[in-house]
Amino acid sequence: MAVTEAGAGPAGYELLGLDDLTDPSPDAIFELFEARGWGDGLPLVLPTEQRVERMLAADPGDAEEALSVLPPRNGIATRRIVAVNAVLAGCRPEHFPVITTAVRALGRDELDTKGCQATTGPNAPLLVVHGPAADALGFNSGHGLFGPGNRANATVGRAVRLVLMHVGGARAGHGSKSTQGQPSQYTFCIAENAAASPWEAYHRSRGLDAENAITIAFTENPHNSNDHTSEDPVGVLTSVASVVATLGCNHTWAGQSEVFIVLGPEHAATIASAGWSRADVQSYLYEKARLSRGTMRVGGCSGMDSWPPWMFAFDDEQMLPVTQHPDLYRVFVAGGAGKHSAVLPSWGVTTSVTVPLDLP
Amino acid sequence: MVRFYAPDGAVDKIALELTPIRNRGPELRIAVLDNRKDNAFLLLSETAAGVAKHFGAGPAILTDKGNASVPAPESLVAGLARDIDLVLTGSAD
Repeated sequence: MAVTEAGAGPAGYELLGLDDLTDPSPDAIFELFEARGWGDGLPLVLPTEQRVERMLAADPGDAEEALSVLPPRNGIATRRIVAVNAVLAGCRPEHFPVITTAVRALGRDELDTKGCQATTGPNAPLLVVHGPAADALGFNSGHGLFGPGNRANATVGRAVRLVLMHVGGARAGHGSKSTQGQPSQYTFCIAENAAASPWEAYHRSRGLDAENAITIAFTENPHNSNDHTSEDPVGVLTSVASVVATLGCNHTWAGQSEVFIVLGPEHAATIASAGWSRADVQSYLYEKARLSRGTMRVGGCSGMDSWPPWMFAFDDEQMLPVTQHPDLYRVFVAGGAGKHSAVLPSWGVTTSVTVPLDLP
Repeated sequence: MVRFYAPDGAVDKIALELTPIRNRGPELRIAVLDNRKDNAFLLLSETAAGVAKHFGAGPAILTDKGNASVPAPESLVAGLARDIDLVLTGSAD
């Protein structure tokens, strides 16, 4: 199949043409992109001019507006190029505002997208949708939300990843030096299950007065906390704390690291039925999720840590918190029935952002 | 013909003006900024020693930025820019 230069398009974009196919087959598109080093290894939707224009129309604005500049390639993430990647990922146009909001947020300094993209450690940008827009747009906040089967979750997360790969230049072994990667680098998008939460919506707990919002956080894959027997907060959260207190996680070494706690609805109900608030959960985990100073000398990132001076002042028997403040435990509810929760360790030297989601 | 977009787009290019090395020869002032990645200090300090020997310069000043994953403190960078002609470092995260 011959690929040719396809003549002039908008300035700054490469337009290609397939001159011997009027309706390219999925196989042909797949092989073409693979040969060019594009894509995530899965079949793609061809980003024709028509499809890209349809995507752009779903979030009106200047198509050449630069939403962010993404490292390490320093690619300019214009609305148009983001639309190209949204089409590639198989997104519906009504999801485009979520993607543009996320890409704009990726340019925020506090996320340290450059470090997260280039690091040897595994991480991916978790995208959480908060508010009534989550249900209205068809995102999954219930059973299997971290897994396959929902088009919104799967394609929106995938679009963000494709932008980071193509525009940001973080391809395995090149711009990204992640030693092993992780499955959530294919797609990592969920919705908060506000209906099942005994507390206020996560974005409101962060001080954001908006109907809808998204959160972006660079984290590891979810680590399961399986507790089928506890009938009180102490039991449930002791199980969670045991998953948090891990020598080999970056949050143990970064000092100021966030730790995301995604409580399953049944665990959340057990905790709240005892009168515990979200702040109680945070405080308990801060006190409980600890490792001894002596354990921390053994491996992990010992010697490379970002601890403040006071953490070095203790003997080996002292139990140290894996993060420095209760508020760094970011807690919200998601998932379906069943006695499971998830711990998502942050990459460490990154701070999540929660921003309003404005829909046209 | 079916036309479609390449997915990567343009790159934001930042023009850099390289600072000329002020002193060459024995007056060359060299520093190592260890990024704290494994083996970085070994590689950088050995390279610095080789450069110093080539120019007949004095030994390198050894500094580090504490952690591979965060930017070096601005005060450290400012001091190197003021006092050093050639800094060897690694990009890390």
